[in-house]
Amino acid sequence: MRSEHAYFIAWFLLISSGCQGSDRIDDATQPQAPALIGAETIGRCNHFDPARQPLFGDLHVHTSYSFDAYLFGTRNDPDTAYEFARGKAIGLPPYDQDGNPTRSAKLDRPLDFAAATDHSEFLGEVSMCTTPDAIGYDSLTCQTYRASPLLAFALWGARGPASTDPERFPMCGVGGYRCTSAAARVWRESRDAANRHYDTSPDCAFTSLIGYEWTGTPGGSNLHRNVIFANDLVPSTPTSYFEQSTANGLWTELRAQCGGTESDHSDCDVLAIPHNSNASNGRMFTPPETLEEAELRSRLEPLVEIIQHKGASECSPEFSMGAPDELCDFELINEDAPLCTEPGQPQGCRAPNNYLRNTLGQGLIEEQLWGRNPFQLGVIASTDTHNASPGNTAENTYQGHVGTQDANPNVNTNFSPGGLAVVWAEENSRPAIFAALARRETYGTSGTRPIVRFFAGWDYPADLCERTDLVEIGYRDGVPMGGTLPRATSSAPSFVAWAARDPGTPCDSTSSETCEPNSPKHRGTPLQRIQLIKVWLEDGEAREQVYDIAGNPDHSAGVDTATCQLTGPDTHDSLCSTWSDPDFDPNQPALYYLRVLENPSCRWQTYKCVEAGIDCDGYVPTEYEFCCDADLPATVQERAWTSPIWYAPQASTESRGTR
Amino acid sequence: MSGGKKAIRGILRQPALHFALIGVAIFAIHGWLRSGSGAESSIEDWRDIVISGEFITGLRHDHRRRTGVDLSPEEQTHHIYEFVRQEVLFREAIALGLDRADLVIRRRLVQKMEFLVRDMAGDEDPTEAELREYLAEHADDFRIPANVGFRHIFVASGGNWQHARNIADKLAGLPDLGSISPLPGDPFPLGSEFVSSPVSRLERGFGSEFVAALRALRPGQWSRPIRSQYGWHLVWVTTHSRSRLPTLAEIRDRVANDWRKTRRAEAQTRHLSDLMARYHVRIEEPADRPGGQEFDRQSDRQLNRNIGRATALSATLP
Repeated sequence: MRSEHAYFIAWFLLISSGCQGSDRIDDATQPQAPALIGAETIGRCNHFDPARQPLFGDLHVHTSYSFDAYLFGTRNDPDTAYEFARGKAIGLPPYDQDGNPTRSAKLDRPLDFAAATDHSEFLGEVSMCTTPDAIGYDSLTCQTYRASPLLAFALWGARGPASTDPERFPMCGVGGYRCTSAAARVWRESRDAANRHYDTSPDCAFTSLIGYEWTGTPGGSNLHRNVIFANDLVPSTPTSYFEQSTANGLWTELRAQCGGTESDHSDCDVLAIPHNSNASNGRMFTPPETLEEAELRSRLEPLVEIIQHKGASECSPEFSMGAPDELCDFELINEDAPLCTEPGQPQGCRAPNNYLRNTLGQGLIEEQLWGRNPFQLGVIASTDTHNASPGNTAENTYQGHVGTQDANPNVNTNFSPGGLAVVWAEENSRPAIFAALARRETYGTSGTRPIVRFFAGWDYPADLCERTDLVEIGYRDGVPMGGTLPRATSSAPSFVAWAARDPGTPCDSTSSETCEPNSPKHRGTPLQRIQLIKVWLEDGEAREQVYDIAGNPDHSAGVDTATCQLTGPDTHDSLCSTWSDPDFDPNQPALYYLRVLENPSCRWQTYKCVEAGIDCDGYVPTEYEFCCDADLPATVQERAWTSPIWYAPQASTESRGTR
Repeated sequence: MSGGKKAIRGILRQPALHFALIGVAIFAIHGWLRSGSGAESSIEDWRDIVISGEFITGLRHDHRRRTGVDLSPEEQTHHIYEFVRQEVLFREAIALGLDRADLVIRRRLVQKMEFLVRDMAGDEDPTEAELREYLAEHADDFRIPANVGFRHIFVASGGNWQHARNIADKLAGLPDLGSISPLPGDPFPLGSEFVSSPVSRLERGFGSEFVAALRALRPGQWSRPIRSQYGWHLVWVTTHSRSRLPTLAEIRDRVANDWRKTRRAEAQTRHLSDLMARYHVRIEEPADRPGGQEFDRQSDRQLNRNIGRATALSATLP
């Protein structure tokens, strides 16, 4: 309870314009927390498995602390986001006049891990504009923020993230310190929420990771990165686009704050995960200009988010480096950004290095130049939900990811539920998950939960798929996804790819709804095939080739779009294949990754249309116009993409693939 | 914690008291506003402004804290003059009822009230007994699920039921996997041994039917083939443990956190309905406005169009 004196001081500060508050938080980097929350070692959990297990999570989650999510009506905080990830039901906007949510959401399968990653830009401003006693609450900026969400979104965006010359609002005071100190407080709350939900018991039921999003969008080019910390040893304030307006600046600052022996805190570690390169106008993956930049990049950015609700970034048929790959045409949002500043180019602002596959090829070229690969990128996926609903990726219950903005399904029809991040870790704990992210032993899915293993080595036995010690040999005689092949000991590398279907949703015995194990909702979808994608360097140019290595693309399994029931043969609960590169040339740098495809199933809008019984030849209510949009695919082939395995001529294991 | 403190805490948790406290708080705020935020003046005499010693001490203290130097006499005079000037204008504005006419101020006061109600409800610490009771009432939120530990031999669904049965027949007499290496069957990349794992996790990995079958098995013997979404499994259960409610000591922080959240939400609802109950609300029929319905629908469509436009912009930002 504040004393009258404190009230008085606050009042005085409020009325004395020009007087500056002294609320800077002098927050030590070393937290006051149990030892387990800070630096921690692997081996705490009952379910520890040295052969590693797949853990499903979401590393891109916005809550009411994000300036845009709040404007979109989201009032769920990070605490609520973590509750949702662990399986609790939450309310979603819009809220009725009594403040009760009019929609709700619940995961049918909880996540193993999640990170709330609110925009670091405006973290303090949002708090100031929504807390009546705060300095700045009465400023015009804040009044606009509260009264006109759409206007405020445009204004704030234009002044901050989307500006090439970002500037804080006057209410932030000299040097912006009022807003950064408010941001430090909000950041502390976000950390506290994460720490509260981290299961530090031997059950290890759930792991939260601490993070934020750096939101540089100069001229409308999306350069966004999620910054993820290894543990609770984190800087006292998150770095925003206001402090560092380039990715290189962000990395430099992160490195200074945290990240190895040079910093003050050797137990602090951090990585940055770029996302939506599809909307970067070719600028997410610009080749480095100095060796230092190449080093920083390869050190801090081991991963990329391959899909999220605003589209996939794997590849585009438009920029193929080989024969056309039709399966690239999946949840692509190909329009030029509205703020595209380079019109008149052949493809507008779309560019080859908007896409991961081209960027991986570019990485092989850059490696020749710098002696290290700045684009040695592993793969995850996430949602980018702005509803504080991590992992809410089911097509059949999709209700948008940006609050009231797309509560109406006619808006954002080309958006999708986004994907999941999967890590192969010994146990469900912060150190095990962070280590897996750092070594890229990860894959991303378009939202379902298939299980995928991928190993490469020089001397694997040909019958590996028949052997129950596949995993043991996989690790012992080779490297898993995300790794780099060691020095060659035979004429060509061999690969083993193993995938199992999403087992579906467990029946909820407590629900009154009858559970039919064979309904599409509960079953998951069987696998169609495993593809292996090879990217290599030939005569200084990047090339690509897609191989079908298991399963069958031509079988008749499909889905009835009038009912969303799966049809045709019930194929492939699991697939396994060993494969040897028939065109291997030891002098060509190369990389290989898997794309695992499910049989077709209904896209989210089809579920809604089937449920509402929409007939496009008859009367279609306005709110269901999207059902009859011929440009929308009625079905999707859900999929998983693994991190690549790299081959470099004359590679030595010591100097590569390590951080 | 002393007995006296406990008793006080008990009293502090009475809803009736909260209500009374809010009443007092409203009164206090009212008085505080009227008296000029802490400057000592009597409520009766509207035109007295007293600058108290405490005010000046606070002024000096704050200045030193912010700037590191002492407040000069000139600055002090300036601050006091400025304060008095604003105080006079503030009181005149209140006297004229400007606060009631201004929507921004109205909204601001409403929000302050909401915060006040929220803060009143949020500062309590639960007692041991309350936590215990909360845990019992919300047991499902905290229950540690049943665990099963097992080893298994896997036959992929490409292989067949007969193959799985043949292996099962061979295993039937064996006490354990013993010295069989490598294991028969197909590789199962989630592993062949599952140390004590929560049933909910296994259901996510294997499906509920498989786990139901697993839970029915007696430990220490090989099962007949069990179907999962991946194929057939021959299972040797090592451990079963029942679902259990953790003790309060194990999860105190989580329970306390949830308790506070629930308590705060309940108290807010209760306080609001208590306050609302003190008012009589009469709703009168509006004067007839032909086409009113039509007008509303029109504005809905307009809103949707605006949302569409903003969304095009938003594609580049969040």
